[in-house]
Amino acid sequence: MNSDSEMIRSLLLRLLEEPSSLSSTPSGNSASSPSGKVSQANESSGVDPQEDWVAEHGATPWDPLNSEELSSLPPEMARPDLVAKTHSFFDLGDIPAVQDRFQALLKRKLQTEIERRPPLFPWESEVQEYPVDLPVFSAPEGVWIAHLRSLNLPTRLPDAVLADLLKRCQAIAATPLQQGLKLIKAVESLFPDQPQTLNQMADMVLVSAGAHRGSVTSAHMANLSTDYDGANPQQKIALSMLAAQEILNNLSLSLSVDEPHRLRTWITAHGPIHVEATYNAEHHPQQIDLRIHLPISGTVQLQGQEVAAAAQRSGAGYLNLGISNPQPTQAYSLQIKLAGAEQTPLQFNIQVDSNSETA
Amino acid sequence: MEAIFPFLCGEFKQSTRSAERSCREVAERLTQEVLRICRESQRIQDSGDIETWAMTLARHRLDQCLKYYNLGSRRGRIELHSTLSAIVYRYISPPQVQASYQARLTLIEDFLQGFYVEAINAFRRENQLDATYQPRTLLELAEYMAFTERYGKRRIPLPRRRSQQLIILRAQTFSKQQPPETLVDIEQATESPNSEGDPSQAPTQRLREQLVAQSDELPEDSLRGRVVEELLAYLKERKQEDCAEYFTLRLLDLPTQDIEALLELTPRQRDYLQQRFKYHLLRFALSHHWELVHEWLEVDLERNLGLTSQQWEDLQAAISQKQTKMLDLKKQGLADREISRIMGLTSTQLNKQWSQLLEQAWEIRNL
Repeated sequence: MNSDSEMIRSLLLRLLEEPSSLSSTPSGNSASSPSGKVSQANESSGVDPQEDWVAEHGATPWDPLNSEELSSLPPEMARPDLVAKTHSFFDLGDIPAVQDRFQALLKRKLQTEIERRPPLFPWESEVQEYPVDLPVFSAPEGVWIAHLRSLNLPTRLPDAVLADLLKRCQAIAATPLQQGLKLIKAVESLFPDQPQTLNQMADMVLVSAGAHRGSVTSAHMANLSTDYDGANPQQKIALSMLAAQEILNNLSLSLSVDEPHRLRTWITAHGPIHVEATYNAEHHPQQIDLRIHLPISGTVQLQGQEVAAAAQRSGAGYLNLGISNPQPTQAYSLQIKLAGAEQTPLQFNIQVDSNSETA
Repeated sequence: MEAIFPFLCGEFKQSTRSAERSCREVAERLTQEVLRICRESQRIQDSGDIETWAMTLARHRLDQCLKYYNLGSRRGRIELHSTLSAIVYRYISPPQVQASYQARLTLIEDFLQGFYVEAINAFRRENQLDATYQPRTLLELAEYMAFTERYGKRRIPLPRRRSQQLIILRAQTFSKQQPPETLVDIEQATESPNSEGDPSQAPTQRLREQLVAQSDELPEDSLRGRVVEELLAYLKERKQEDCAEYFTLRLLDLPTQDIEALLELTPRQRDYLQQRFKYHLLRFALSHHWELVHEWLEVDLERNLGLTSQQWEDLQAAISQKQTKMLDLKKQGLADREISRIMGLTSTQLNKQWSQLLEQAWEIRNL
């Protein structure tokens, strides 16, 4: 038995040693040496590896095929000379059988841990599902998101939340609901189990909007030192409602005798869209003139109970539409689509404030 | 060459639920990548079979992409993350040696976050997408994940005709930026109290010096590589997967705590596994693959099992008549079956006798 362990000892020592690795750099690695010392990596020595290659191989440049994963090439194509060039067995960890087994083992082990906390990619703020496609009525990311990102909010909201808010705001903008209810409707699907808080927060957001824009911000966002994901549920609701309110305001043009002129701007990746509405109360019959500037080619479509009109442009520039004899209680929708990507149209709502009749 | 784009596009349309437009975009990007490689690769150009190369490269990319597509956003990223973590694991050294397994995981997490940023930037650059491009659909996400894996595994030329995977080079650079405060002697740190019989804890310095002296012996290296591969295959064949895993981790010089953490073993269980591994190692070296092992150790039969003439005589004196005859026949190069026949032994009996003989030789050699 004693001789057994002697034998094993020497066998293993021979197996575990790295005979050549101390005199010649192993393939970029000696980090596996027991002292855990970081290897003398070749890369950061400031020498361009490509240059090294050229220096050693003369005019023969590095063949991009060498960068391919060997295992991805069929055996007849992974020529032995290539293998010899890219593999060295100086380091035991580089022996394919060892490497494969180690990585498979480690991967299995790590997966359970990673599953608990999946990584985020640089552009993500949460692990999200990706749509199979961008259907016509999908999240308005892409073209419209640029504007949503620039909303004046205490902190930036994740794109997915903004996209969802825009979708809902568009759906309810033209409904005759009170503003508070609209806010609740806009965000309730994001916070399905907190109806109480929704009511409270909607009141506060409205009050602050009526009084002073900043008050809700300062009162409830005082502790908001983090981003949206780090905010508490109340703060999240408040932030979402503030965003919804901004979106609703941005998309509505409410005209009256006192305020006959409105201008809205929506920033897109291609440049801003301008929508300018002018209410000519003196005109007979009364008239709303719409002047829309598109940053690239696109179409606009106007829709009301007795009105339907459309116009399009190939290239940037203005489009003009008019509503003759507008009805005070009626909302007119103006849908804008830009050329290129499939997208949900951006929908503005134009309305003549009924107070203006009596004014 | 014109076939690549329609091929990819068609496959994507058939295998995903993505709209035609997405399929075309992704197919177009992959086609460009493949064509670029074919154009710039002298070997492909010289092969005279550019079509086949292009198709192989394209198919590999397609398969990768579809793999991630089918896994979906969540499982796909777990797959990617664990694949990359496993590759860089050995190269990310934690500043503290204790708790190294968890510490490594944390560092790997940090490292990969940075790597994903690098990968999306490389993706944008190589595909001439603008700096704000980000994947929006599942197919585009799959494309990014597949690219990131490929990008990380890309081989970068190094001096002396070697190459290394890009992500490993990055990991090494990353590791060097870690504060080096605790350069604890690992050999000391890994020494467990019950180290009796554990070869890894033997003082290795002298042997190392010895081995360095005979470095540059490439045949020796590749022979050892073969021994390692054969041993792994042998363990697998014996259904000793856990022994094989244990051996792998030992080869990589991971500290004992790491090995225990990775294999989810208590020290006691690890000890037991170690014993079991030794048993199989012995069988491997003295029986099933004795020729390979002895050749590698330069103590094969042609060299009289590495014994001096005095030791050879000692061996002759120590073994039975049967074994003497067996040794003689083996030295003549007869096949085992033949020897069995001549000596009237079953193959099991022959093996057993022979193992004993080798063991004795081993003992004499080590006296």
